[in-house]
Amino acid sequence: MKVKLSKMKLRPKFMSSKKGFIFTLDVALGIIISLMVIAVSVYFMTRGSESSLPQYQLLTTGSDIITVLDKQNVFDALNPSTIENQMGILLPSRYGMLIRIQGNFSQSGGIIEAGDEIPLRVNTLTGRRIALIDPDTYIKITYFMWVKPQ
Amino acid sequence: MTLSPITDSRKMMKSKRGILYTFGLTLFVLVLLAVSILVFKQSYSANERFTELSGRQKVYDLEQSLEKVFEKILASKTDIKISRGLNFFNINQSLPQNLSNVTAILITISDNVNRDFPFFKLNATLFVQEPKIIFKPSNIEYIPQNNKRIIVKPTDSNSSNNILGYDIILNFNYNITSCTNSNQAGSRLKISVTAISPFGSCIIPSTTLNSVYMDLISEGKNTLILIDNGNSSLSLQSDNNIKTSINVLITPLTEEGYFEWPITETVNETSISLTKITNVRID
Repeated sequence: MKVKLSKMKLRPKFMSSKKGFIFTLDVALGIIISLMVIAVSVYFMTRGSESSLPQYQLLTTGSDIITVLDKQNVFDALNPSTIENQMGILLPSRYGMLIRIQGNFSQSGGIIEAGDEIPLRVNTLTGRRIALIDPDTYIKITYFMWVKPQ
Repeated sequence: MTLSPITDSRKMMKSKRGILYTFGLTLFVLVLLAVSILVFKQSYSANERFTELSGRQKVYDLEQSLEKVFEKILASKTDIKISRGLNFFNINQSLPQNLSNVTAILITISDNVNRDFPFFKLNATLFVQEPKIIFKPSNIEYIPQNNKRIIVKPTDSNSSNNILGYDIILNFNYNITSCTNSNQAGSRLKISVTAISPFGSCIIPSTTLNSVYMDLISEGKNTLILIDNGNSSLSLQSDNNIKTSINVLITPLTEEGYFEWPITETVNETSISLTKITNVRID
């Protein structure tokens, strides 16, 4: 009976240490998989929230600013500092903007730019409009919009 | 002997707990996977939405800026002024009216736009052939023709009922020496004509008529107004230098009216599978 009992006591000890190891391994593996899944989820969630309405709002802000500047005939003089000043009044402080005007005019070889310099490693959105400035000059306006890094 | 059933039940309990743990963990991971798939789908659809919105913004930007350009051309190259209300639209202009400057700049604009925007095709051929302004959705055309003539007519026979009448005001620089009119009484159109000159005027007070024929002479030159019973069209031809104001009374529609030029814009934006052909709007 004594021998039998000691055998019985030994088996559960051996079994439970093995079980504990497997259980730890299982937990570790589970945690790794869970973390991976969470990381992927967070990555996609961040990307999803980044690239929709706020981005679109950035684009429409640029479009609205160009519309207002055109309505105010700011482009007529083709003066970068005037354009920049007027743009600064309308542009929200968190946003950066660059306006490029191309057309058949003698000034600066037909290209002038006004606004901030596009920073590196920043997601930039682009839109294009056209306008007519005196006398009968067709211009193409390209605007670049981005959110200023904090 | 009494211990063995307890050990068995403990063993069974332990194995059941293990199954429960495994099942719970599997469920947890499955839920996480489902959430991640949902988030991925949400992110994908958000990306798609952004692509579509930015594509539409691209088209809107060009259409709206074109509208502004054409409004500017109308304001700077002609003295035509347009306005509208719920039950009328009004066009002021002087005669003679030379529209060759307008057509020339329109061709330049079209060429530039077609070069700079591959997804967009602007065709001004119809306008160059016959410059006109179309009032939508009533489908009434205003045609300044041959410098000395203005025609207002419905685009098709179905739209003739949209014209309810005309208020016409003509301002002559010199005296009106003769005024003849022969009108057909009826209840079809509400018409008033006021021709003013420095000395003397000729007036048809606001009344309902079927047709109008009016011949005015100033400086020995004729100005002729014809309003047709058939399709409610108006023809105004003048050899004089006059200022005209034509108020077209229309059937009020639920949709707000707007003006457009017969310049077709064809949009083919492949990124959002958008294809459409419309006329250029001016407002």
